[in-house]
Amino acid sequence: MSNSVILARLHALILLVGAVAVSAVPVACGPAGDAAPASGPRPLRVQLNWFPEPEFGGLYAAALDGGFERRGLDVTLLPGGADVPGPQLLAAGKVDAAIVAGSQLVTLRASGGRIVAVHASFQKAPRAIVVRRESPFSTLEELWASEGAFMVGDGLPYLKWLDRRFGPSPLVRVPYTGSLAPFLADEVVAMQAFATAEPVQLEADGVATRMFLVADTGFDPYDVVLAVREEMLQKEPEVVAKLVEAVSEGWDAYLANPGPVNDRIAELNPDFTPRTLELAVAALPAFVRSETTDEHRIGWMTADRWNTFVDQLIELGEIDASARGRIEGLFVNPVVGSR
Amino acid sequence: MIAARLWRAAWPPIVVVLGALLFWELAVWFFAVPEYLLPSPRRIGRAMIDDRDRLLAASGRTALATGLGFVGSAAIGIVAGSVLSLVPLARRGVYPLALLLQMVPLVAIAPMLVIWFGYGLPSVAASACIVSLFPVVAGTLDGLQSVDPGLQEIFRIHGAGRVRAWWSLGLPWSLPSVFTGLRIAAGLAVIGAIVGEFTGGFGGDAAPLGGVITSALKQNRTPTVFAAITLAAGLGFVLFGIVNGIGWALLRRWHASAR
Repeated sequence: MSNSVILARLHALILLVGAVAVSAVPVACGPAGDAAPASGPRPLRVQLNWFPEPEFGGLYAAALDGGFERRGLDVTLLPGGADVPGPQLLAAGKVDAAIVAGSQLVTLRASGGRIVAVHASFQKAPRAIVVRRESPFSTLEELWASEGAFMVGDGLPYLKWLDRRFGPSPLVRVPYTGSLAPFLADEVVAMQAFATAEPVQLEADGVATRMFLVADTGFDPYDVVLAVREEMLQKEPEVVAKLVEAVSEGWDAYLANPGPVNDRIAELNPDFTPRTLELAVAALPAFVRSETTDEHRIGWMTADRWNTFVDQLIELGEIDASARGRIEGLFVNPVVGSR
Repeated sequence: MIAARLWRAAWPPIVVVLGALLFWELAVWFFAVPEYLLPSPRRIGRAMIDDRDRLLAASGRTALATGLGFVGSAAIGIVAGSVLSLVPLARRGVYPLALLLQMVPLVAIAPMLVIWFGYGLPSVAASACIVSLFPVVAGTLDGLQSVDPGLQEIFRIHGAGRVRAWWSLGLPWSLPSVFTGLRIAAGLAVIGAIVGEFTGGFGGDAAPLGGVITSALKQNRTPTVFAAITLAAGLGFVLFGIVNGIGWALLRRWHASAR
């Protein structure tokens, strides 16, 4: 065996160990290489960060309507869950694109990961906290000053933001795994939510809730971001641009006619009933559309928004100010036909 | 004398561990593996020092839950194994169900534990107890089932009842296999506690190791994730060592396995 073969194998082994260590989810197939096959559609594996839901409606629409196929892309959408390390899977090359939170993208870049945001389906951050309608709290500030259990994915920066904004909270944080049972059983007084998901699901189950949007407190990042590796953006800008174009077009199609996509989502995620999906889609446009998207397209991002967010993360101590250089260039709005 | 014996037992694993760490460190450096994929041992060590207060408090919480769960599974397991051995009908009826306990995917029932026992210590300790129970039951039962029939006969001839025979003959006879079960249970209890913490542990300032792992993973702080994993493994080692020590103290006078 030649030395280069041994080295290559060693390298593969180390990458494998690293990937296994960071991933809580098995990845079905081998690494998705960047090399396009000589002919045929370009295969792309896209890792979602939650179960199939209307928040990914644009992607499922593009898959269903043939928006990807028409552009020569063979896209596989991989559903996620509470602890899928999407950003790491993407940086490690296990998938070609991933839906990540804006904060994950920035912190990963700050620690040297070369991934770039290319599309943000939510113009207003849908991150929310819900309580029961009959709960005594009428504002987020009141809730934040109260005691009790708060079901939330710990470690995300908006919690620090709220602590800074309203003062450290006596709420006790308990994990959120995607199950609404502890909320329904009144084990917790509040839970994290995605504006177009949990509150809608609860309403369809006959549980009236009150929702507080974190964005309304001044912390409004791009929270549902489609990211790719910088390397792929440089080597195959057309592929990335086509992917983004298809997703934007998919969103337009989904908002105009959600029926077929909702049927598909209900198939993939039986927790959703037609009624829940209907309610969810009705809530979407307020988050997905904005003046920016009217002017450009759904998913378009502005430097202002990203800069504000990076400043906030530095202020919160989530990243070091010295990391600014590495964060630079964290997003692009790819356009087909322009290099 | 004892120091020399300890050293003789300790040096091979120490050399292997140091060698593995050195290889790991060099490999990470040589292949320039990014920190968020696989941090080097030195980087993990630095995370441990930088985050020591939080990690220490987290280890304490996980250790408490693991310890409670393990004591629970040891007590329940030895009693259950004994009852199953004394009552043949129960053995035939219940043992297959005990096996089921081993098959239940803990991750799936962990969220239910929260609803049954509440957040924090109760559900985490219950999780540790449930996964570590079966090896103790199986070890106890196996030991009691394999008591020398000749000795049982002697007890019977001298008019000893079943409970007396269990206490004076069965239990001492089965200690080695009970301790085999307990040693396996020690490692499982830590795993059970961490999984329980993923769904039922507190977060924020009150986070145990499982909580530190999930929150650090979300923030791309892989070195902290590895530091917490190392500490969890360390807990398993300590518990294993305690069980081994007790087993050795109880068995050394008369059993070949402890000589």
